[in-house]
Amino acid sequence: MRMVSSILSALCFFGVAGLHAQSQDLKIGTARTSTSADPHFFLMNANDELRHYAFESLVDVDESGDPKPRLAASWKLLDDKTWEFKLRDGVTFHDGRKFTAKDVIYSICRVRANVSAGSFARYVSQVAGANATDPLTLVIRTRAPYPLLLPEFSLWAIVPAPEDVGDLDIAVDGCGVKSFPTNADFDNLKFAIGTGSYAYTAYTVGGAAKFKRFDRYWGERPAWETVTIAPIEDASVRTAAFLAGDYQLIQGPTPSALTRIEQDAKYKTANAPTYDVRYLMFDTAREPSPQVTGTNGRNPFKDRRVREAVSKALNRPAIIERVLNGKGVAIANIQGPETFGFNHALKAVEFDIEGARKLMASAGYAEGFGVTLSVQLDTEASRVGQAVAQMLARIGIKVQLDSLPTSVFFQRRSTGDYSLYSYTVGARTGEMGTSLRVLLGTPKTHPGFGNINGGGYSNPDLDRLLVAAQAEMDDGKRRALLEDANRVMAEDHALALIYQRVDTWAFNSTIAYQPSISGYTLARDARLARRDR
Amino acid sequence: MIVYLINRVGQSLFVLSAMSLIVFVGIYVIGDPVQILVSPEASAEEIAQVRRNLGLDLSLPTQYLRFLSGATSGDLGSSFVYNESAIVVILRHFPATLELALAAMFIAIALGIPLGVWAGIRSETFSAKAIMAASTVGASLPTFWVGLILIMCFAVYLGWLPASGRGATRSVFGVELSIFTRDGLAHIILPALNLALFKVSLVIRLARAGAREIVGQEFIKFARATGQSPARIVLGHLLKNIMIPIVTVLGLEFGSVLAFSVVTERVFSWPGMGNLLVRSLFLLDRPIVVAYLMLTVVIFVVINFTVDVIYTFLDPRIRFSAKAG
Repeated sequence: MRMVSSILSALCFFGVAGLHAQSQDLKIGTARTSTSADPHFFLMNANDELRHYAFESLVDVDESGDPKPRLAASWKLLDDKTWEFKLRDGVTFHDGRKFTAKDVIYSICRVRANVSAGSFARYVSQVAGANATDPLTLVIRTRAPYPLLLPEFSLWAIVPAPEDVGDLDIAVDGCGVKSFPTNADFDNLKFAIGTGSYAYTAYTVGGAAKFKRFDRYWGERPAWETVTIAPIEDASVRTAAFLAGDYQLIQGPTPSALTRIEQDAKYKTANAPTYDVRYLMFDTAREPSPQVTGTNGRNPFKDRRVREAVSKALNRPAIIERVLNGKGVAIANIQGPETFGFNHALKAVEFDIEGARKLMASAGYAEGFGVTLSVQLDTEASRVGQAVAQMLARIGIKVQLDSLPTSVFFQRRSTGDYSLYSYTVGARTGEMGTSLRVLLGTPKTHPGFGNINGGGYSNPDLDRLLVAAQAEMDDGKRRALLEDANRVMAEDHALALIYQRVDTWAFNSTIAYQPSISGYTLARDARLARRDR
Repeated sequence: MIVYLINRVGQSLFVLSAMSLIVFVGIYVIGDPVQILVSPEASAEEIAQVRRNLGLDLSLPTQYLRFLSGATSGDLGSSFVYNESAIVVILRHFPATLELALAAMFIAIALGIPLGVWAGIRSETFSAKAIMAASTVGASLPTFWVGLILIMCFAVYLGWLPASGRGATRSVFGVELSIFTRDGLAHIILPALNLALFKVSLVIRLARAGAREIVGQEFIKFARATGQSPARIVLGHLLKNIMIPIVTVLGLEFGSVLAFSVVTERVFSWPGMGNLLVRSLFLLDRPIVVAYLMLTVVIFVVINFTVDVIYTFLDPRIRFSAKAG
């Protein structure tokens, strides 16, 4: 498809798009294809993007990783394991039903009952009991003190409980509900009913979703009468469709067409950082390491100095400027500043080739060594991989780049085939702990630790901080623990963090669009530009 | 006829089982779908649970035998991604692909036969040579490239037609079709044209070759001598005699359009089976891929069979020899 991109982007220079008459309709071209309109069905970005239109959760997570009210107007801790939520009054579902605590309990039950591979069940697994003390007061008991309850509650949607549903007992398997609507029931829109500012009018699996404004929405009145959100996976095709006027707003135009879009008064672009952070992961567990050559069986990455040398050899500003066209931010934490537990004292590792060479020499690798760098087969990963290979060559590390299709890439990571690989991490919970645990926690020591730790990194200090943070109910103390965990990670050069990815959107200048950190293209972030009527 | 039919069905069953085995093993070798599908936050127990739910904890031969026993009762397994019967998921994407294929075939016939016959009976004229030159170009351009050019010309530059996606649909006998709405028609023109381009060229060549051969034959001369109008000669005598190779080829082409419109569907973001196949391959959604390819085999078998039947109507010799045999 790379050939496609280059041809299209070349042609794009000759394109002239007619501006279509502006109305209250917003047409969005997105890069992701959803698998269902069911918000509880499959945890993936494309489905989650749609969830934000028709559905809402109890809480949201804001730009600094803190929970803020949504369908829950307020909450307080009755004790370490008991949460009381006051629900928002006057909220209506799209079919006219009133929102009550029973809907929340029913949603927890349905989330739990879903056993698909992309299940959300883990985000309610801590719930031991849920009672409605009155229609708008909900008391949740957790199995153990659980500080992540709110961020995790921001990830699943509230659907209405059927009127004839009996008493819901959270302790029973399936809560005593005979059968829940399936994802197909949502896809044909029979049950795709939420409290969100837009209601579904059409949905095709693999195709477009259409929404209309929900006039009885409790919050701010949505700017658009109708919204269409259509998946176009290929960036060059998406860009062409945008220039053709099919869409007023697209995510991720091709970098090569960007200059032309930016120079044209008819269009505007906007950038926003995403949750995704790209890193280099070292094999620090094995000796010899499978893909390292020229070290007589030693694994150089076990030596902190070599890891630091690699990090210092990376010219992050150059990668961001030349490879990513500026769409990145150098970073020293495992997630960006919008994440809870960001340590502002840490600075991205500076490019220092002399320092890197000295470190290599002091570790006994003045002559360098050979290693295979494995990346996922996509344009960005491959291009960054090439740049990294060239930069590491300057300190004597001969890198062979291996670009693998996604399916193969994951398979080999799970079987521990890599000595050095690059991938991205991004936590939906908006909390540092999640990423640190899954990526750098010692595998198999605690639940959820090291699930994607393909390098076998293990650091008892880091594990201790993460375990403590997981049970710390005080936000201030937890923040301090997570900041400290980031510091431990950075000082040990557990990873070579490269950049936080920045996403771009292109839109007609008749609309104003301010993307949110979620990386999703949301109609609520777009409105008609003021000068337009 | 019955022996012939039994042979056909036997062959097809063999192809189906061979196909399913190859795809099964192939995808098994590529990677582990669970690694792609589950969230990185999933614990080892959750991953094991998912693997059990999808039946991926069993050995490959056991998985395949389970699939075979399901397949004999028409159950090709449930999609890992959509949690629904693979056949149901594919059939939901089928109408979009079918109407695209039909539109492309319509264009191929409506343009290809008249142009081809003209080029055949007036083979020395400039227009005939131009038609043949154009058909050579049409047959040799890669589909994805033509698709992009079409988008750039008609959507971006001229702004006449939408660049991607499927238009508004209308329910026809319970099937959602877009060719009966204005918006739908506008959306289908470019992808159908793109898909048809190669077929048009093919039909032109076949029609021209046929026409050139027939036009010199005795019975045409005789028809002319009896004073029949040129239109009647072409429509009544010539067309009937050149149709057999065209129907054969179009039949096979129709199958390939249905089954492999992948490139065009990708370029135009058409929500059909081809797009589904590509997404399923990326996600290693094995039940969908296997079911899709089995469906492809079935489509080809049915089309071949239909083509054979159509022959018997077009050519009485085949009809009579079949009766005699």
